[in-house]
Amino acid sequence: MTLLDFARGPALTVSFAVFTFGVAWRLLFVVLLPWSRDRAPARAAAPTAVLGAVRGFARHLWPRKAFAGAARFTTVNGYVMHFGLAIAFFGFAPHILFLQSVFGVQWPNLPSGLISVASVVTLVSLVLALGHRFASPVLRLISTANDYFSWFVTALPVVSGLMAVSHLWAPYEILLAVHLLSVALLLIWFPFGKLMHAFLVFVTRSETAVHYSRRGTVL
Amino acid sequence: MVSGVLREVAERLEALAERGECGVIDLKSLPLSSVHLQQLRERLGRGEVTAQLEILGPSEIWETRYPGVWWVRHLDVTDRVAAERIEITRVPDILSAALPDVVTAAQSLNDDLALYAAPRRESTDHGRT
Amino acid sequence: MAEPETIGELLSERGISRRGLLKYAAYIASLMALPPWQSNAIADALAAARRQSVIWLSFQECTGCTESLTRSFSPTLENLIFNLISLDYHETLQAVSGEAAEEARRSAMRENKGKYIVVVDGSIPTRDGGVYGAIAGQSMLQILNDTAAGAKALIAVGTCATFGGIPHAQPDPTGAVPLTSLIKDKPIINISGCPPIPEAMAGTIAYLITFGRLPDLDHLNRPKSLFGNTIHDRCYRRSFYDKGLFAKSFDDEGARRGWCLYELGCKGPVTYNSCATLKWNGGVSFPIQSGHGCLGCSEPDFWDKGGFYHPLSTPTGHPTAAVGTAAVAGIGVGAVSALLARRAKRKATSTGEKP
Repeated sequence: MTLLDFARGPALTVSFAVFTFGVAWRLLFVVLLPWSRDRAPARAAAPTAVLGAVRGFARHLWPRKAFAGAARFTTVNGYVMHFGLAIAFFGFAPHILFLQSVFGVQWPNLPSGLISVASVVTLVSLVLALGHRFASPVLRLISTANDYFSWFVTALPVVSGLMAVSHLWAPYEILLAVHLLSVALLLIWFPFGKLMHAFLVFVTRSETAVHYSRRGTVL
Repeated sequence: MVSGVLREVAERLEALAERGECGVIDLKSLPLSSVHLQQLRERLGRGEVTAQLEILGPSEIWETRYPGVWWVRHLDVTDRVAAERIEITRVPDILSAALPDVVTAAQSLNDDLALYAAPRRESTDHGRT
Repeated sequence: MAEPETIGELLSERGISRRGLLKYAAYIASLMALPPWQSNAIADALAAARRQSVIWLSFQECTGCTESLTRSFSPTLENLIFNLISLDYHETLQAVSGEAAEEARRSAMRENKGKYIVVVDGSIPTRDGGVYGAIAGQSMLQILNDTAAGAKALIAVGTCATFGGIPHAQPDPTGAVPLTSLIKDKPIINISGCPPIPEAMAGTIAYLITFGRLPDLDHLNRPKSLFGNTIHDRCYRRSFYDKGLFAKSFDDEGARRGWCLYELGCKGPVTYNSCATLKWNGGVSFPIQSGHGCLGCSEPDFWDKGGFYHPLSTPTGHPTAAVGTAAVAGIGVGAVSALLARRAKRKATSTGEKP
C-alpha cells in the first residue's frame, strides 16, 4: 500500500468516523446540558428568543465603532481567511469531486487560477493572524496549545494543497497523499479543539443574544 | 527554446572549428513541439548537400546553411520518426561506408565476378543441350 | 558456412549493413536517454557482441506482453532486437513443444550458464506450495528458481511480473507474487505496463546487450529513461488541467474539445510511463489521446485503487458503516455525559448547593 492508497483509504475513513463521532458528541452534549431557567421576567418590548438570536448574531458580524482598530483588523482578516478558504474548498474541481463522492451533490467549479489566488490570500491571512497573535501581549497571554495547533491543522491543508497543484518539491502522488493526510488530521482534531467553533459559534452567539435581548439590552 | 538549441549548435560548431570535436544534439529528447522543430529547421535552412538513405526505412540527411551542421532524420518504414538529431561534424558517420561493409562488398564483388566468369561456359553448354 | 560469432557478422549475413546498426543505435540512444554522441560506440559494441541468449518464462499471464512485443512492430528498425537475441525458450513463439521445448530451455541454461537473461512475464503463484501453476509437471515457482539460478540478470515484463498485476488483485486466490518477491540475489529490471510499451522492452534489452549492465533504475526497479516522468507531466492535455477545464462525461462538450480527463478518473498524475511521448501502435495514439483516462497500469496494484473512473482526489474507502457507527457512538456518549451532568446538578440542587 502506497502513502496515497493509505491516505485515500483508511486515513480518510478513520478521520470521517472520528469527526462524526466528535461532532455528534459535543453538539448533543451542549444541547442536552442542564440549562438554568431564566427566572427574571422578560422586558415588555423584548423580542422572541428566535428573533433575538438572529438579530444578535447579525449584530456580531461586524464590530461596533468603539472597537475599531485591533478588532477591525481581526474581523476583516478573519473574513478574508474564511472566504478564501471557502472559495478554495468549494470551488476547486478536485474538491468538488471529493465532496460529491461523499455527499452525492455536485456544482460547477471555478477556474484553477482563481483558486490559486484564493489559496494564497488565505495563507497570507493565516500568517497575519498568527503574527497578530504573537504581536499582541494580551492575545499571547491567553493563547494555548489548542489555538496554535488549530491554526497549524488549518494552514497545513492550504500549504500542501498549493504544493500539490503546483507540483513543487515532490512527486504529485506524495504531495496529494500529504494533502489528504493533512485534511484527515484537520478532521480528527476538529471536534476536540477550537475548530469546533464552526458549529458552536451559532450556539454561543445565539445564547448570548437571547440572554441580553430578554433584558432589553441592545447589542 | 529554439534559440537555446541554436546557441548550443554554435558552441559545438566552434569546438569543431577549433579542436575538431564532433557533437550531436538529440532533438527527440528535448521538449520541442512540432512548431519549435519547424522554426529550428527554418533558422538552420538548407545547404549544399542532401542525402536520401534507405536503411530499414527511409532516412534523410541534409547539411544546413552552416557547413558542418547536419540535420539527420531517421524514419521507420511506417514513416515514424525513430531518431532526429543535429550532428556537428564534417561528414555524418552514417554516410561513409563502414569498413566491415567494405570488406564484405569486396568479397561479394569478387564472388560476382567469379560467378560471371564461370557460368559463361555453362551457359554455352546449356545452349547446346 | 560457420555460424556467425558476433551480432555484426550475423547482421551482415542477413543483409543489414553497419549503417543499419548506426541508425538503430541512434534510435536506442534517443529511446534510452543516452548521450547522443555515444551512438557510434553503441553500434560498435553491438556489432562486437555475441547474440544474447534469452529464456522467456511465461507464468500467470495473458500473453498480452508477448503480443505487444511481437505484433505491434512492423518488420523494421525496432524489430532488429530479434537479431540481437537468441530467444532460446518461449512457449508461445517456439516451434517445438513438449519435452523438446523443455530440453531447449535446459540446454540454453547449460551452455550459457551465468550469461543468459531470463525474461519473466506473468506473476508466480505461491499459495499451497505453488500448485496453481505448472508447466511440464513442474510448478512455476520451481521453474523460476531453477532457471534464475544460472541467469546473469532477469527482466520482469508487464505489471503481473513486476508488481503481481491482475492475478495479485484482490482476493488473490493463488497467492500471486511478482518476480522481485522471489528472486533476491540477481539483478532485476522491471518493465511494467499492461502491456508494457514494446519500445521499452526492446530498448532495455538492447541496453543490456550493449553495456552489459543495468540502466539507471527508479525505486521500483524501472528504467528511469522510460519511467522517469508521469503521463500527466508529458500529456498534451496538461494545459487544460492547469486552466481547470475538465471533461465531465465521455461525450460532453469538454470531452469533444479534448479537455483534461482528471474528473473521469484519469490516473496520469500518479502513473510513471512513456505512453504520452512514445505512444502506441507505431506512434499512432495513446489512451488519453483516444479519449480515455489513464488506468495507471504501470503502477503497483492498479487494479485495486478504488476504480478506474473514480477521480484521484476522492476517497477509496467505504466509510458509511464506520461513519454511521461513529455517529451513533457520538450521540450515545453525548447523551450519557449530558445526563450525568443533569443528575449531578439535580443532586447538587437537592442538597442545597449552588448549581
